[in-house]
Amino acid sequence: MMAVITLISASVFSFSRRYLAGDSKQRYQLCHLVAISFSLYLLVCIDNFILFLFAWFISNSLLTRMMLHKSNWPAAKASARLARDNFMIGFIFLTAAFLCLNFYTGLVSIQSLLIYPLPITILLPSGLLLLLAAMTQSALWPFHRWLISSLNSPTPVSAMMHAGLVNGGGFLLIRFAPLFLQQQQLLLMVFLVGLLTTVLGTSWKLMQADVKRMLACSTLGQMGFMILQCGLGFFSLALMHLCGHACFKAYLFLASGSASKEKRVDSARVASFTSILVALSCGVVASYLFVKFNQRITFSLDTNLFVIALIIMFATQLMLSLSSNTNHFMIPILFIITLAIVIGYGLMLNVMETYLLPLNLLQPQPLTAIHLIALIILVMAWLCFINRASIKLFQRQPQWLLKLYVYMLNASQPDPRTVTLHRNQYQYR
Amino acid sequence: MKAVNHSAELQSKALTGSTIAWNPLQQLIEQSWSKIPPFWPLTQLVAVNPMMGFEDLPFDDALQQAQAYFQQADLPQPMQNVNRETIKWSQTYFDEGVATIKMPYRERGFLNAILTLLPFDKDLNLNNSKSRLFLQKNPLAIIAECLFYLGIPTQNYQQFLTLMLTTLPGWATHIQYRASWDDSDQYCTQGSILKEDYLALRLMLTCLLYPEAKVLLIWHDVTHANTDIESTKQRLFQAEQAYTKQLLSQISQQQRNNKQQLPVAQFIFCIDVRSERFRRLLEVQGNYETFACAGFFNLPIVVENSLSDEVHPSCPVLIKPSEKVIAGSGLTITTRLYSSLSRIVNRAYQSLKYGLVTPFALAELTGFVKGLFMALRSFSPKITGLVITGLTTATSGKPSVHFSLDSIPLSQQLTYAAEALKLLGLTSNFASTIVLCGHGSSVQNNPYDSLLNCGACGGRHSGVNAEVLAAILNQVVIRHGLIEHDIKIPQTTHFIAAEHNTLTDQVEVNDRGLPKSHQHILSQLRRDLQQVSLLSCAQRASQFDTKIAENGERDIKIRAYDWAEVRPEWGLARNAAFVIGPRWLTKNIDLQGRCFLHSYDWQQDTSNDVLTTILLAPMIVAQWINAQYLFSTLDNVAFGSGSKVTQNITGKVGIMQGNASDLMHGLPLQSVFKTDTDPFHEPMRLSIVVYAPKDKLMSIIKNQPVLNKLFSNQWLHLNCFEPDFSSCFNLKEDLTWQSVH
Repeated sequence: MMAVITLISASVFSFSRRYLAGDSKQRYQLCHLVAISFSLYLLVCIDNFILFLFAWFISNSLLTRMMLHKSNWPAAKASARLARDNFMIGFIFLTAAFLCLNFYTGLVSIQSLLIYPLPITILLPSGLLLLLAAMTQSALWPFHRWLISSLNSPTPVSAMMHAGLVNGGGFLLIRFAPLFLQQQQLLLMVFLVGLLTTVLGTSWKLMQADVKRMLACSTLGQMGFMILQCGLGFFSLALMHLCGHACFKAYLFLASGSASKEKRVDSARVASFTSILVALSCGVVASYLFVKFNQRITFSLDTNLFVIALIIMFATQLMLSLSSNTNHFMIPILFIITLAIVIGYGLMLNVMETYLLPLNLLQPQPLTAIHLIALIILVMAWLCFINRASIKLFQRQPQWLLKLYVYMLNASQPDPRTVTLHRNQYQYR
Repeated sequence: MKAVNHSAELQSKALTGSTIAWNPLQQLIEQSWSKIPPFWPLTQLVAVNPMMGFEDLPFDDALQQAQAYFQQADLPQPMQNVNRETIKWSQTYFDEGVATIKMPYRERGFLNAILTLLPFDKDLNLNNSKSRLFLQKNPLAIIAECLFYLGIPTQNYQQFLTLMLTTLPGWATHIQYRASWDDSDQYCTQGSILKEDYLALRLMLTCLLYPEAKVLLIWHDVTHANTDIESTKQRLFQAEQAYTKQLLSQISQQQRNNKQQLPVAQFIFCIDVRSERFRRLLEVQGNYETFACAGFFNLPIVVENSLSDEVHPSCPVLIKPSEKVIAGSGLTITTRLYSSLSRIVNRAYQSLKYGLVTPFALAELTGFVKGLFMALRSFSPKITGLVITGLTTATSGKPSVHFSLDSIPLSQQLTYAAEALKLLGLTSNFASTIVLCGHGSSVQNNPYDSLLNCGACGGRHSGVNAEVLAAILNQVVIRHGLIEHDIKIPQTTHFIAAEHNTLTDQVEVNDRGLPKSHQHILSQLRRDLQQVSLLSCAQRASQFDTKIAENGERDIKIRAYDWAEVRPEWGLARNAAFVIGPRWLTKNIDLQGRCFLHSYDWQQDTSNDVLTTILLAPMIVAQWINAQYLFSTLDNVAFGSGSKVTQNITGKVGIMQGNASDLMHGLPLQSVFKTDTDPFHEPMRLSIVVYAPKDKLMSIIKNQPVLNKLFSNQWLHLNCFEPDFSSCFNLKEDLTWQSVH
C-alpha cells in the first residue's frame, strides 16, 4: 500500500514540476501534494479510529483545496464545492459509524473493534454507515456526480484523485472486512451497490466523447467493480484491483495529452460463428488453467463462479480480438498466447494472495439468486456488446434504445454549475 | 501559378461565401458565417487569424468588433443554458473516435441525427406548443420559424444569426472548418447544409430555453458601446514602431556583396522564423549559402503511407493538392512484421480497454507495469523517450524516405521543379551539393504538436516534400528539361534531402544515392550541422532560462523527451517581420528568430509572377500565424485556448477547458506566456519588408483584392526598399507610399 502511494505521488510530483512550470500556483500544488501523501500514509497505517477519522478528513480537505486551482474560475469553484459537500457527507457517515461502534464497545483501536463480538443491532447500522461513507468516497451511485464534475482540476490533481483518494471507499471496506464478513446480508448489499455502479460507469465511459470524462466514468466503473469484489467476499482481490487500477489510471491521466494520437481500431467487427466458438473454448480452457495455477480461486458453487465467469469473458474477448483478421494457421499460436496471458494473470494474483493470506480476506460467499440473476444479465450484456456489429445490421434502432441512449448521455453529464458555459468565464489566473 | 489562383479563390470563398444564394435567408446565413474563421482539428493544426471574418474592416475597427463579439465578460444565463445543450450535442456528434458507443444516426447529418434524439431529452422539457417547431426537417424552415417565434425584427436577422454563432465561437469555428475547408467529411456532403443545420439547432434550443432571446440584440449593442481599445492600440503601436524602426535601419546599413566564390554547399530552408537562427549560425560555420521558400517546396502533394494507410496533404491549406505520393513502398520485411505485430497487440489492448467487462482484469493485469513505466517516464524522461522513439521507428520505419515518383507525370515534375527554383531565385551558380531541408518537431504527450510542425505543410513534417523535390531534381530527364527553362544545373550537382528537427535542432540528412565524390562534403556538412545544433540549442535554452544556457543542449533534449513538458519549444513566438529579398539583406543581422525570410530576386522576376505568388501564399500564411499569436497573447481566453494544465481533449478534434466548455480555438497559454502573467510573445502586426521597386509592388497589390484589403485596412505593415537603397517607403492606408527616414 505504502509502496503504491509512494510510486504514484512521487511520479505525480515529478510530473507537476514541469507540467505546472510557470503556473502561479505551482508551489501551492506541490506542497499540497507532499502533504496529501503523508496524510495518506497515516490513513493506511493507523489503528486508532480517531486518528483514522482525522487523516480521512485532512486528506479530503487537502484534495478539495488542490481541486480549486484557480479561484477566479467559477466552474472550478463549483467543482470544488461539490466535492467538499460530498466529502462532508461521507465524513458524517464515517463519524456516525465510529460513534456507533465506540458507543457499544468503548474501543478506539480498529483492530480490536474487528475482533470484538458485535450483536447484529450494532453490526448492521455501523456496517451500513461504513458502506455509505465508502459510497461517497468512491463516488458510487448516487454519489457519483462530484467525480464526473471534477475535471476542472489540473491534470496531476486528477491523476492523484483517481489513483488515490477515490479508492478510499474500497480501502475502508477492506479495512473493516472482518466486520462485513460476519453478515451475509451486508455483503449482498455491498455487492448490489457495486454492481450498479459497475454497469453505469462502464456504459457511460463507452459513450463519452472527451478524454477526461471518459477516464472519470471508467474510474466509476472500476470503483464499482472493486466494491463488487468486496461484496463477493474477495477482499484481497479488491485490494489488488485497487493498487492495479490506481497505477493504471494515474498513468492514463498523465498521458491524456496524447489522446488525439491514439489510433483507434474499430473493435466492432462482425465475428463469424466459428471464431466465436473457438474463442469461447479458449476462454473455458483458460479459466481451467487459471484455477489450476492460481489455486485460491476454485471451481465451486459459490461466488467463485463470478470470478471464473469474468475470466472466461476476458479470455474469450482477448482471443476474439487477437484472431480477427489473421490467418488460420496463426490461431493455435494466438490460442496459446491467450492461455499464457491468463496463466500469468493467475500466477500474479496467486503471489499477492499468498502475501495477503494471513489477513484472511478471501472468503467466497454462498451463491444466492441475486448473484445468479446479476451474472446472467452481465453475460447477456457482454454477449450483445461483443456482437454489436452484427446487431447493428438491423436498420432501424428501436425507440427504447434511443431513449436509453439520450437518458444515459444526460445522466453522465457533469453538474451544470461546473461547466464553463460562457467562454470568458474561464480564467487561468 | 495555378495554385495561387486557387488559393485566392478559396480564401474569398471562406470570407464571403461563394455559393450563389437564391434565397435571401440563405444569403443572411452566409453573411453571418463570414464572421467566423475556420479552426483545424488537432491532428492538423494550422494557424489562423481568429479575426479573419473582420479583415474587410480597418484593423482598429476590427479590434473593437473583437471586444464586442468575443470578449464580453458575461452572457445572459438562459443563453448559457443554450450553450450547454449545444456543447453536449456538438461534442457527441463531431466525435472522431473517442466514444466506443457512437451517437446513433450520425450518417443522417447533424440536424437530422439530433432531431431524432431530441424528443427523448428530458432536460429540454418539450411541451406540445413548442414541439411543433420540430415537425420541420428543413433547416431553413426551422430558422425562419424560430426567428419569427423569437420576434426578431427582419432588419436584425443577420445580426441575430451572427450572435447565435459568436456567443459560442469555438464550436462555430470547428463547423466553419468542416463546412468550408474539409473535403473528407463523411457525413455532410454539402458544407452550406452543415452551416444551416448548426444555426437551426442553435435557434431551436434558444426557442426552447430562452424565448426572450431578442434582448441579446440590445445586450450586444451595450457591449459594443462599452468597448475600449485605446490601451491595446497603444501597446501594439509602440511595439511595432520600435521594432520596425530598428529593423529598417539595420537593413539599410547592409551592403551588397558582389561576386563571391562558389559555396561548398547550398541549403534551402523553410521560411519559418526558426530557420532564421539556424541559417545564420550555419553560414558562419563555413562557405555555405542559404535560401528559403515555403517548406512544401512548391509541391502540392498528398502523402499516402502504405504501411498505416493514412493519407494526409502535405502542402499549405490554401492550396488544393493535385498529386499523390505513396510512401513506404521499400520498407524491410522486419519493419512490416513489427508493424503488423504492433497492430495486433494494439487491437487486443483496445478491445479489452473499451470493452464491457474486460477493463477490470486489464487494469489489474497491466496496472503495475504502467505504474512502473509512469515512474520511469517521470524520473528519467530521456530513457523512456528513447524507448518510445525506438519502438515507433521499429514499427513504422521511416516511410518518408521510401516512395516512388511514378504517380506524378514527368511534365508536371518538370513544372514543379522549374517553379520551385525560380521562386528561390536559384537559377544559376549551383554548388555541387544542394541540401533541401524541411522541418518538423518531435514532442511527447502534447496535443498541440502539429502546430510546431511546418505550417506550409498543413502541420506536418516537411521532410517528405524535401525528399520528393530532391528526387525529382536528381533525375537526368528533369535536368535536360530544365535547360529549356534556362536553368542549367551542372552534372556534378547533387540534391540531398534533410529534415531539421526544430525542437532538438538536429538535422537528419538522407544520404541515399549520394555519389562517392560528394561523400567528403557530406561528412564535413554533418560536423558543421552538429556544431550549429549545439550553438542554436544554447541560444534557445537561454530564452527559457538564462541559467541553463551553458548546458543548453541537455536542457533542450530533456524538453524533447519529457512527457510533462508544456513548453517544449517556443515555436513561432515573437515573430515580427517577413523579409522578402536576397539573403545579403539580412545576412549580417541577428534577427533573433523573429523573422520569416523568403528568398527573392526582383531582377529575375520580370513577369511579377514570383512576387505575386510570395505575397499571396507564404505571406498570407505568415499573416495568419502572426495574427494567431497576436490575438492569443492579447486575450488568451477569448482567442487562445487557456492553460494546458486543465485542458481536456474532446473527440480528438479540439480542446475544452475542464469538464466541458466552448471549443478552445487558438494557442495555449504556454505557447505565448512564460508564466501566467508574463507574456513571451510580443504582440504586433507583421511588418513586411520587400526589396524590389515600389512600382512593381504596387502593380501587384492593385490587381489583387486580397492584398488590397489587407494593406489598406492595416492588417499588415508594408515596407519597401528600393533596390540599391535609394530610399525606403512605407505603405499608408490609402495605398500611397510614404518615405521612411
